[in-house]
Parts: sequence; structure tokens; C-alpha cells
Amino acid sequence: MQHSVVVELNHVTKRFGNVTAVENVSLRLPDQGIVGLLGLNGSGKTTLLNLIAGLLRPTEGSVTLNGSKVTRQSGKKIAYVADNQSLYAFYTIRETIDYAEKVYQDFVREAAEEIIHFLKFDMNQKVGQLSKGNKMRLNTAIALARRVPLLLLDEPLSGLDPFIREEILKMFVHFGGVYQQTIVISSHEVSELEPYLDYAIFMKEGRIMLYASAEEIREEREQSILNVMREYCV
Amino acid sequence: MTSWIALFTKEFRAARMWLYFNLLVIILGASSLFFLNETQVLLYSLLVMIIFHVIYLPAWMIYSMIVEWKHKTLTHWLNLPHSGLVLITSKFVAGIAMMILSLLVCNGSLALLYSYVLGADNDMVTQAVHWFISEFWVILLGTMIMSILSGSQVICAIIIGKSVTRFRLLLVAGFLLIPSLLQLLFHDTTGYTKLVSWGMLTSAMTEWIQPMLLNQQEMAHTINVLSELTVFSLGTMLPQLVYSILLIWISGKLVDRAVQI
Repeated sequence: MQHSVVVELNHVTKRFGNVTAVENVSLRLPDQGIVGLLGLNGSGKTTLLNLIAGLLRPTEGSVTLNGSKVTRQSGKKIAYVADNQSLYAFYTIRETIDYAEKVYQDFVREAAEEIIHFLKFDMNQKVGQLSKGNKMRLNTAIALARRVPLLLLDEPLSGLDPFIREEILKMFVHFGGVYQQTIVISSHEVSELEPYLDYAIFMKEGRIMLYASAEEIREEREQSILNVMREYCV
Repeated sequence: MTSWIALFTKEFRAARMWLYFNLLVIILGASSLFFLNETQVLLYSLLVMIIFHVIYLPAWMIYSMIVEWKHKTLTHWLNLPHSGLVLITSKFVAGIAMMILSLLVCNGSLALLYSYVLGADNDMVTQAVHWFISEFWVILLGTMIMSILSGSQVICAIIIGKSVTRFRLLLVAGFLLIPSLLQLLFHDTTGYTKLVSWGMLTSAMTEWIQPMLLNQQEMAHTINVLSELTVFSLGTMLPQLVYSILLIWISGKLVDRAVQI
């Protein structure tokens, strides 16, 4: 597996009709680490992730992956778990792993089974019977079992109870750091995410307000990420 | 190849409601036996069988995309690390497989119906049955190719609609209507006739159907439609197949380069 990719956004703007969802965003994602994409609802986080995943085309500017324009086929290097995304309800968890092993060349079955064991799932349970939280955990597990350099997760903690949120965050730390991936997690709930972040990108009304390492924010600014979010995003 | 097969077999698991609907249509068609006279059963069953299967693939592709959207798997499907051609063909070929099965069940049932239920003492029915059974495989092939063409047009139209941000309806409508308009404009010309009227595979139904018109004036329109649908020639089928393959290829490219979530 290629351990890192260079993802760059150069003056990217995305408009939907008269609505500007992302405006003049320029950034380069780090080679590895957990990146928090933070902002209130409607700040442009999902649009930004869709642009990086190649599922949207920018109105202006460019999104590149290792120098080449990002397209839908960037899915070979990017695993994307969208908000409210589901896997196929008619498959059991075991069948989902079988399916993922066949459709993803970078999928490591042993890693998936280890994560499923960690989550204490019943492999014979149908995906359609899982709760919302468990579906998100399964989605995340499948993504973490892929050896891709970049993992994008859109609101993986949204609407879940605190225990499930903590379990998902532990999964990132436990399984995500092993292969030196860059994991981008978008969220409007910062307090639980904060201890796990290496970098934070703050968005407001489609614009990047601040992009800094968590260390810089805590040590140089002497602020918590939550306070910075209050300062820049509200 | 393993990935394509996994996506192909996934479609069958997703198609449970579709298969129930397919079965329902066949049963409802069979129940027409109890409401129509012999000649009407013959004509309407043929018409329903052919039209149902001509629209089978377009309906399947629309259904398949709606299922992805409704079950919130569309983002997952688009994010799969495979070319658009792999994504589209796995759905399309699954639809073709189901259509072939449906056609075989339908046509086989009709062949049995015509042979054993309809009156052997009715000369017109006997001729029609003879035509249907002797041209069984050509009718099957011709119906399949018409369905493949309409299915490829519909999926290409859907993909075009998801690829553009302006004048969406106009572009999709234009894409769907232009081939038919061109055919309408040129179908009486010598050039077009020479291009398509070779390799005739079936005799026109009108040869044995005309006598029916004497007694079935109210079904004249039905008979004309049926005649149009059942004259199969290599001159029309081969270009349709090539055009369909081109549309599928274009759809795959658009999925890769132009479709937006």
C-alpha cells in the first residue's frame, strides 16, 4: 500500500445554483494523522469531503491527488464513509465482509474480522437489522480494514449515544494509526473528538477559518479546540 | 473479474421485489385466458409479452438505481474503486439475465398455451401458433435486442441527467427523442430502407393476421402495433446492438468523469 497521498485543494469553490457551499478553499492534507474537519451544520464540511472523494466537481479551482485531478476513481486511494450511508441491508455482516473482500483489492479480511470481534458483532446478523449506531460502526470497520492512504468520514458520530461515539473513536486510534493513514473526520461535536485529533480544520459558511495542528492550538494558542471553534465558527 | 461477479450477484440479492413483480405480471397475463376470446388471447398475450419485455431493461435500470438511492448505498456504489463501465455493466447484465429468464418462462408458457389450450380447429390460430413456434428463438432474440437498446438509452439518459447542472431536462429529452425523430424522418427513404431491410428473420405477421381483421376491426390498431414489433431483421438488430454497446460505454465514461452525487 502507498502509505501517503498528497491531496491539495487550490482555490476551490463549489456552488449549487445561487448557493456557495465552499468558497475559495486552499489546503493540503497532512501525510498522516487524524484531521478534524469542524464547523457548524451547513458550514460546507460534507461538500468539501465530497469534493475530495471525487463525487463532486468544483465550480472553480482544482482538487488533486498526487498531482492528478481527483475523479470518482480516486476511490482506489480514498475510502469514504458518508453521513447516513448504509451497506446492503440484505447481506449479513459475514456476507458484507465477503463482498468487501471481493470489491476492494486493498481490503484485509483479517483486519475486518479483528475489528468486528472488537465490536462484539454477531457475524450472522443482517445489516438491515442493525441499529443506526451499529451500522455506522460496521461502515467504519469496513473502511478501516481497507489499506488506503486516505479515509474520509462524514459525521460518523452524529446521532449516536456517547458510549458508541467513544467506541468509534477508539477504533480510529486502535486500528487507524497502524497503517499510517490520514483520517479526516467531519463533526460539529468537538469535545469528544478533541483528544484524538492531530490537526483541525475549522469551517464557517464555506470558508476555511483556521487550519492548524492540535499541538499548535493547545500549546501556542493555549486554547482547547472547542474554544477555537467557538471563536472561528460561531 | 471477481469484483464484477460480486457486483453482478449482489444485484440478484437486491432484486427480490422486482422478481415478485415479474411473476405477478406473468400470472396476470395468464389470467387473461378467463376474460378474452381465443383470438384476443392470442393477440393480447403476444403484445403484452413483447411490450413487457421491451420495457423490461429500462424499468430494471430505473428500479436498480432507485433501490441504491432508497437504501442509502448510492454513495458507497459511486465510491467503489472500479470503472463506471464495471458498475453499469454489472447492473445491466444482471437485468439481461433476469429478462432472459422471464422471456423463456413467458414464451415457453405461451407456446404451451397456444399448442394445448387454444382451439386446433381454428385455422387462423393454428397459423399464428405455427408462426410463433417456428420463429420462437428469433422472436426471443429480437425482443431481447429491443430491450437492450431501450435499457441502454434509459441508463444513458439517467447518467446524462446526473452529469449536467444546467438544461438537464432538455438534454435528457433531446437525447431520448432525437434517435426516434431521425428514424421517423428517414424511415421511408430508399437509403434507410436499404440499410435496415436485409437479413429478414421473420415473415411479417400480417400474412396470417390479415384474415383476422375481417372480424376484429376493433383490434386493427393492436394488430398494426404487433406487426411493427415482430418484423425482425439483422439490418435493424445489429445496428441496435452496436448502438446499445456504445451507449453503455458512454454511460461508463460519464459515471467516471462527470456524474456528481
